[in-house]
Amino acid sequence: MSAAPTLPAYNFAYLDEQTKRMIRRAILKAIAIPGYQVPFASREMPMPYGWGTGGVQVTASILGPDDVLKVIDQGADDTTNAVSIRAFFAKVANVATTTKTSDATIIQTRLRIPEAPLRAGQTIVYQVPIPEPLRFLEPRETETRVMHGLAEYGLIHVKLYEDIAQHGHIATTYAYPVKVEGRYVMDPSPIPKFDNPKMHRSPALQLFGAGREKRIYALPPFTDVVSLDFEDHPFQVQKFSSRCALCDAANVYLDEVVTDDRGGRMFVCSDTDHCETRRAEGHLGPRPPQESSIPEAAPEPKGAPPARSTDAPVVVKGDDIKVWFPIKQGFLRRTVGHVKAVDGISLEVREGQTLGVVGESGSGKTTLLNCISGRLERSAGEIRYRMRDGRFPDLADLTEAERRFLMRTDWGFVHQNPADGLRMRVSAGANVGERLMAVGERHYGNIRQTATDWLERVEIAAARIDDQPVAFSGGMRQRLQIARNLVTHPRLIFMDEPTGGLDVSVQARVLDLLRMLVADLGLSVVIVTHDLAVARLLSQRMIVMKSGRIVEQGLTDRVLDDPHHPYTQLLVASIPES
Amino acid sequence: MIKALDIEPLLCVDGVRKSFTMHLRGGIRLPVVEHVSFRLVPGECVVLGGPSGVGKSSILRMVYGNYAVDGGSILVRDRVSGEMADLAAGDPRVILDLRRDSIGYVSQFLRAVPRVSAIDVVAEPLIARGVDRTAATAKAGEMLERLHLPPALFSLPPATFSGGEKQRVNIARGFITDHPVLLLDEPTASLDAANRDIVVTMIREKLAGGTAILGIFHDIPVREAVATRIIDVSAFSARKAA
Repeated sequence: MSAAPTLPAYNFAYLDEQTKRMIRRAILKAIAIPGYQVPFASREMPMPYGWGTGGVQVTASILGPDDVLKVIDQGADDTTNAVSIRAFFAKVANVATTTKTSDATIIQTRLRIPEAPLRAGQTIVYQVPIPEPLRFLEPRETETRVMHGLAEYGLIHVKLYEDIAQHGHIATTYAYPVKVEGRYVMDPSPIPKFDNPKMHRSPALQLFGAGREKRIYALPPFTDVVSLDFEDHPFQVQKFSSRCALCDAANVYLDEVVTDDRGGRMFVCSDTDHCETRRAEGHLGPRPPQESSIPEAAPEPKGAPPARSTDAPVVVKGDDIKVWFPIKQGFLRRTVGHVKAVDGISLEVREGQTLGVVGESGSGKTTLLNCISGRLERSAGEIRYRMRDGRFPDLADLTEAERRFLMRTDWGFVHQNPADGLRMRVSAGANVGERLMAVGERHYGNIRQTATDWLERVEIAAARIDDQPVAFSGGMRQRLQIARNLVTHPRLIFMDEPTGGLDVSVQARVLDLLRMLVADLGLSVVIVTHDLAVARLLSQRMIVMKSGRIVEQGLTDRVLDDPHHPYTQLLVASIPES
Repeated sequence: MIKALDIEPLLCVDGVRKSFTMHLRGGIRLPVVEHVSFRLVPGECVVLGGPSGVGKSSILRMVYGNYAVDGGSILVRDRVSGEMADLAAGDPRVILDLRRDSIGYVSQFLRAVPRVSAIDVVAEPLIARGVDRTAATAKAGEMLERLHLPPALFSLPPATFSGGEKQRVNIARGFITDHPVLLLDEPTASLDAANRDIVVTMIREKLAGGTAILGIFHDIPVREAVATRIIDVSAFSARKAA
């Protein structure tokens, strides 16, 4: 130990220079791709997560000795969080601090943007608790990253749809999702949506730091920031019926302040600097409290369902498809052989036709289905699909974006377990509407009308539209899953034991429904089932699989009434007579 | 009587063989028929005759594509193209097209689809050919009324119907379209005399309209009323040789 116990070994602005450089590189990346969340190696700070560690690290990395720092929390300069962060930087960077928005070069904020317009040269740093706008809709980070990557943003509208369904208007008031430069959907941190328009084309640099979640994102000056909405429910900011009780300001964001224990209250500017500045200029409010402020709701729209898209010819063709899973053994995990789940299968499905794939458990049916629906990679072979534009490419040659687009528009997948194909915690209406929103439908009234129509088609009472599937029976869930799959008028549906978990009466209802819809909509279907009665009812042609190979195929009633292969004869002989 | 060879046939069966291999019984082979050859022209009703188990139903089912054949050809005139298509070649799509437009079948038993009403069962073949649903349903109602099915039953699924009621639904479904070739497997087996007479009238109307009918009728009065020609299937039986 050396002698002088004078100063603790702080670098300027607390963080070491290597860390600052790392964070600055992340910031530069974030500025280069506005709205994109850049991961960074978030450091421990001398304050707990949730106290603004992301914002503090960003501020520390961009702070210079000549900067003037302002820190606000909920618009106020004098709340605990604001005071402590300001004191922190005054101590570790010895920078000038201010409460005046106009004097500051860097403004670190939690939950507000100052009322006074920011100017060029200023930087505003937002503290962000959860940077991912899709987080509460899609829990998997891997999936949300892909969705951002492919700009697949139908899901974000599900949240807004649910709002309208429940409240009659978009009730999201803070952390209101925005689209940046027409590309990335971004969570603007939990600022009130009142402040969203201030981000649009702001001359100031806007940086967002999420310490716990280790993400930085940014809006360079003059970036387009558009709040998401529906055509018939346009984005609106909160409007307040009262004015600030202290400075008489109108069109500012107001906080309710309780003044006594007898119900007395008043509404004052949430931005304390704005309020003080106005009072210094001589504006004075009435002080006595006024009526509460309620955000206005948009009128309820009425709309017609969208037109049906015309069906174009569809062909799926598979040639010599193989899916082999390696068997690894021993210390070195050497591949000693393969499980040949699908071993050289060729098939073809034409428009309006249903192909049944039958066989007992373990015969490779589901693997085949997953493979031709692009959900599982094949080991060999070719699978071609006729696109709407007439192309006939191999699925493997499509980009991930094209494949996913196909999956949510041209294809449907009905799972055996409805929970695999539904979002169990969003309403039935939103479950059906999600796929519409995914293909760009942005009119709430239309979406809801279409969802209602489809619920009726699958015999679910329209009154249940706002209930979540967790409150539905197994049969209702399965019918909801079918409605969700068919609402975008896909051309090809994959079904994996669609009636597997249902009791007999419900099974008959679902089968009848599927049969009618397939006929009415001219769908092409590949249905995997171990139930020969289901195959007879729904399919015109069928494939019998055993150990990954086709043992018999042909016209469904021919295969079932005149089976040739020993295995098919055994299957048919095993059906109980009714 | 019409002379069969002068007119373009609707159905030519030539040298058809059929046997069953029972793999569950150690692979024993049961020959059914061989050298089956005949042809059907418009307006004739050919009845397959012979004792039970001789292979009459098997022939009917092969002509409908329900059974595969071991050899030979079954040419059916395609109503749309006017060409003869070989149904015995086993291409499922050819068979599906022929069934939709050219060849109808009234089986002995109705295979009831759960939850589908009788009237929809009857209307379905028309809807499959693109007829408007309302028109198809109206026509189905007429057919069922003609067969004296109580209107109260129209909207019920046939699964719970009596044998005769089911059979009438089945006949209505088979007769509603104008397929040029119609296959009938004992359509009057479970009908009372009054309804049997209606079916006979309906068959005669079809024949007058130029439909060719291939049928199995064990009911002698019906057979005598409609048959223009009887083929003794015993002549094709493979079992006597085996």
